[in-house]
Amino acid sequence: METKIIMFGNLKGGVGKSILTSYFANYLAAQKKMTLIIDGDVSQHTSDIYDKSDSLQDYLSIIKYNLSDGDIGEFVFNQCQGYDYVLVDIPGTIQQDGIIPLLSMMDKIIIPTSFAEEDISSSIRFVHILNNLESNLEYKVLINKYEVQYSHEVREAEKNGFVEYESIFGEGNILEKGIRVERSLLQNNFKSGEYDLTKRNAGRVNETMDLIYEFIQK
Amino acid sequence: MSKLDKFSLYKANQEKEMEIRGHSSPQKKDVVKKVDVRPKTPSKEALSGSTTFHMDAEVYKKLKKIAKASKTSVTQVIITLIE
Repeated sequence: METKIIMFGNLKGGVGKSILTSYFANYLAAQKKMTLIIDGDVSQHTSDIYDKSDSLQDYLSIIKYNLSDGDIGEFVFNQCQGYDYVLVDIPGTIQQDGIIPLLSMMDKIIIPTSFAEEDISSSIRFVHILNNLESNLEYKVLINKYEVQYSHEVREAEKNGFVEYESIFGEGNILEKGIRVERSLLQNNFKSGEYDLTKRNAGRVNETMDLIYEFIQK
Repeated sequence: MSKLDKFSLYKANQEKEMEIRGHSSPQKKDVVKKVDVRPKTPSKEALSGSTTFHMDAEVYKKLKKIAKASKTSVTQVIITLIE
């Protein structure tokens, strides 16, 4: 099988790129898929706080990319050997050299976002960049963060928000209606830095991972 | 697509990096505003009616303490503060 290179990307921080990368890597490793995370966020390395579960040691590796490692595209190219999946985590900016062409190396990109105006704007800009690349990649938008204080009004507003989202990105480009990763994490009392989906009742988080997996298999 | 093909794409797009970075994205401000469904900070009028809004958890805790000590509701504390 050719190595699949996947990214959770957006043009800003705080949308859940790193945490989704970590969760999805665990999900793949738990299915005995040889998985590598390339932590390319030089400003904030997730791998510094990532606590890999012992049960996943054989299937999951993490490697940091630093600017001193040279060209990021070559770095990713050289690391792929022997892995089923490579997940690349990048900073929430395109100012770092090589990030834009790196996007074209991806098989699939998942764009985590929320209903917040600044996140939507950055998602639009990100998709605009993807559309200007010469590539074969496919992307889907994942509405990852939801209003924590959930109420009838918020639920109705979110429904309307979905419709508007579809009008921006196209109906087929939204991963799924009603995914509530963040809310599910809160409900299950996950704390920051706890990534082991195999040991806790991960509920809706695993459902989301299933959907992402289904998308990257297509 | 093979690993080598992906790397060829990387090289091809590397040449266009500056150009792509300089592209302005489409203006969709109106649509963006419609999608932003977060409850906005309420006006005094809104507070007197039924509404839901986002509040920082730490602020809420402090307000709840005040409300408890004053034997009143958090909403009433907010209204008093605004007034």
